Amino acid sequence: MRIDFDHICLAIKGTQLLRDVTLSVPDRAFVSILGESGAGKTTLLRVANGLAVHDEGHVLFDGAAVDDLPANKRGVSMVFQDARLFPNMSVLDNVAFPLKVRGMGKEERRTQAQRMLGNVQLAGLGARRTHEISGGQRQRVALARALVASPRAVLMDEPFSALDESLREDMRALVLSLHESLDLTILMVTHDPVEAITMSDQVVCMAHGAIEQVGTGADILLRPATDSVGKLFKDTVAIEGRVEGGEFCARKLRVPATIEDGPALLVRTRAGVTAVKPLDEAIGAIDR
Amino acid sequence: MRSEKRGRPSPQGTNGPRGSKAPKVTFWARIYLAVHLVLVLIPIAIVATWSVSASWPWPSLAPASLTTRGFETVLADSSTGLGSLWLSIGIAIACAAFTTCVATLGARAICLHTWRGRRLFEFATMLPFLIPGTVFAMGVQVAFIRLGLARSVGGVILAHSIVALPYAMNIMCDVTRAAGRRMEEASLTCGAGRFATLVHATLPGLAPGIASSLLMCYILSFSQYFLTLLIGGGAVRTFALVLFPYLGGGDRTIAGAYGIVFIAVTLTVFLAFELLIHKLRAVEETAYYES
Repeated sequence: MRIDFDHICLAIKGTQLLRDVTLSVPDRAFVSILGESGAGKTTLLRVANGLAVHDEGHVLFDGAAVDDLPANKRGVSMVFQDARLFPNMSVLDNVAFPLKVRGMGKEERRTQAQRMLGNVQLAGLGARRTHEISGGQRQRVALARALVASPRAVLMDEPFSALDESLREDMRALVLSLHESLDLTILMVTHDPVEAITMSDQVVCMAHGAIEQVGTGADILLRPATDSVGKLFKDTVAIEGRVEGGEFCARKLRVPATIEDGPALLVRTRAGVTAVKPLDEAIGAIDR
Repeated sequence: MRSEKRGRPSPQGTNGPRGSKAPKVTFWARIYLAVHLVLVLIPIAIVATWSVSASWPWPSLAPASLTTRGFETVLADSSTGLGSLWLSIGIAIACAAFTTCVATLGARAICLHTWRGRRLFEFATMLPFLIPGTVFAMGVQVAFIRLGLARSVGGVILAHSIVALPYAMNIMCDVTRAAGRRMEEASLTCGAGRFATLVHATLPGLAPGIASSLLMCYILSFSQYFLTLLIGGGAVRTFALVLFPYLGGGDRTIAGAYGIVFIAVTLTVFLAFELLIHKLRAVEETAYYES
């Protein structure tokens, strides 16, 4: 499903949270919204799913305005930063909840929920209570709940920020594989620039309620449009990947590289200098 | 083994004190507990003994003879016996249900919506706390006589509800602020409508507060004497109203029996609700109020 934001403005108690935001999220694309805290990323996501009501502009799904549709009728699901599983239900009932409210029979929704739990690698945990599983497992349950009713699009609000790094990597891989296998449109909010540029087809950089730049991961990394976009990379970052046919590849990130094919490391310094080195050479330099 | 950052545990959540060693009970804590128990248990023991005493002349430490006269009077099928008990329980249940409903809606209006006069409304709900009980009761009596609510069960329930409302509002505001809209938003984005969201997300989140509020209002209503006397005008004879003349009249056997039944009923309700609240809190601690 294609999502369009057409000149969206939103102010709450005199504070302008969104300033004339116009953005198009293509059908089946994985788009990340990147920005500092208070940039308006989550507010834009809430406008998309109807949890926040904008003052001006229009939200369009596949070209049709959905401004007047309540959140529960928009057909988009959401993964929250804090999972928000219902503690009064088991893991399986949480996943089956979207099917239950759509009137699906008990047996059928149990079967579908169990299948979706299997998809997020949590088969066999359906009977557990939500407090009996770890933070990473909770986020997977939230993901399964968001996907089970075949939504038109999935919105994700910093879904990995509460997890530690090793678990984030697992979750990123899982989300990307589900994105490909289910042909979904995903709009994800993150404040992690590496996460945004490596996972997304398109990255939207926001600051002070407005869009600063829209482009591929390589555009954001190599050609930041404004100082504030460049400053999103606070420290030196190193991304492990491979060079194939003159391109450094790390998941969806594609950056031109002049070295031979093979494992490589992309380094971007705080000053904005980017270099791609063979992995062995980079490790050797670090050892020295 | 792979390390995983768990969801932020609540102060008393599953990752909290439950698994840690309980603090050591000090000598002074034991003394304090013992004094506390003695101050509660000795009066109850004396009342219990009086309730079955035919005569207990001074300075004997034990009653001279025993009787079941007190309990026969209390449990008699009359308007001053079981009739008053059932009436009191009925009024207390109605008061608890009505007040908790009003407080739940009021707390939602105060905590989750912004509107002109919100602070004033919040302050107004606390007024019965600030006004002396007798002044409040006389004012309510005058208003209820004009409205035709005096000398009726409905009027007594309403009067009790006004007294109980600040307590219920306090509890419900706390629990509503803590729960916020988080689970409701999750429910809406799952495709649930308003009613499904109310049933599956809102009410379970407020359940511990609702149970606490019901208990508080029930006990407040069940033990009301002065307000019931004034509004009921003697036509509504609750258990507390029947008990009082026996205390003043010096028939300690009957007064003791009334007292014991009063305590037993209150304690039963209290324990039932405590059990319910404990069960609900076990769920609440895990996830409802994570930020």
